[in-house]
Amino acid sequence: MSQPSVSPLPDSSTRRTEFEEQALEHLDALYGTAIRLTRNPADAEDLVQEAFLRAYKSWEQFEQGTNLKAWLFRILTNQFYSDHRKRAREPVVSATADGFDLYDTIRDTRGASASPESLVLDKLFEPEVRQALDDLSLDHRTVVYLADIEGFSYKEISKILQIPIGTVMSRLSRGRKTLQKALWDKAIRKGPTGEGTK
Amino acid sequence: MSKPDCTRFIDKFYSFIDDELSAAECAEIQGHLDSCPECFERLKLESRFISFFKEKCRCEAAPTHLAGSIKAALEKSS
Repeated sequence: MSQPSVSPLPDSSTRRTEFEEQALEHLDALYGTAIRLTRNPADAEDLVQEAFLRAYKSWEQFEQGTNLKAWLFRILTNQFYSDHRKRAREPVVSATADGFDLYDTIRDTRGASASPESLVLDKLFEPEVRQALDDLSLDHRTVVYLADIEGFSYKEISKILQIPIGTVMSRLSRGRKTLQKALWDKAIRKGPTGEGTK
Repeated sequence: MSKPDCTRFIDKFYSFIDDELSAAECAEIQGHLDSCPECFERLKLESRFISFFKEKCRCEAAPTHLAGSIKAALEKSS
C-alpha cells in the first residue's frame, strides 16, 4: 500500500470552485422558479442569490451523488417561505376553482364536437398563460410550477416543500383546475376568434 | 357529468399522466379507458392541457449578470 504523498484539505477557493461548478448549473431553473414565487425580477434575483449563499454555507451537508437540484430547490423555497411569512404580502391560500371541469364545460358550451384547441388553446399566448399561473395562490402556484415546468416527481416535491405527498397531489390537482378555469375565462372573454376560417 | 363508477378512475388521472402509478394501477386505468370513450376523451383533454401549459410557460432564464453577482457574493462570504 502506498501512501498518498499529499492530501491537502480543500482550501476555501477549491471548495468554492467545486460548489460553483455544480450549483450554478441550476441557476436558470432556480431563477425561473424564484420569479414565479416572487412575481418580481428584483426580488427573484435577491432570493436566488440568498439561496446560493445559504447553500454554500451548508455545502458540507450536501451528500454528493444525491439530487443537487432538489436540494437547492429546498433551500430556495424554504428561504422564500420564511421571508414571505415575515412580509406576509400575499395570502397563502386564495380562491380556487373547486368543481370546475374543463371537459364538462367544453361539452356543455359547444357540444362534444368542439375541440379544446379552437375553444381555448389556440386563443391564448405565453404572457396570458404566465399571468394565469401568477394569479394562483402561492401554495398552488409553487406545486404546479415544480411539477409541470421543472418536472419534479410528487416525492421530490414533497421533500422540497416538506409537505406530505397527499398535500402535493391535492394542491397540484386544485392548482391545475384553477388554471384551467382562469384560462377558459380568458379565452371566453376574447370571444370567438378565427371562427369560420380553417 | 361523469358516471359514478368512472369517478375513481378520474381521480387518478393526474397521477396517471404524471407517471406516478404502479404498473398494476396503470393497467387498471388502461383497461377502463379501453371500454369508456368518455374517460378516454377526458384524459386526453387533461393531458393536452398540461402539455399546452408546459409549452407556453417555459422557465425564464436568469439575467446574464446574475451568475457574476453570485460568484462575487460567494467570494466575499468565504
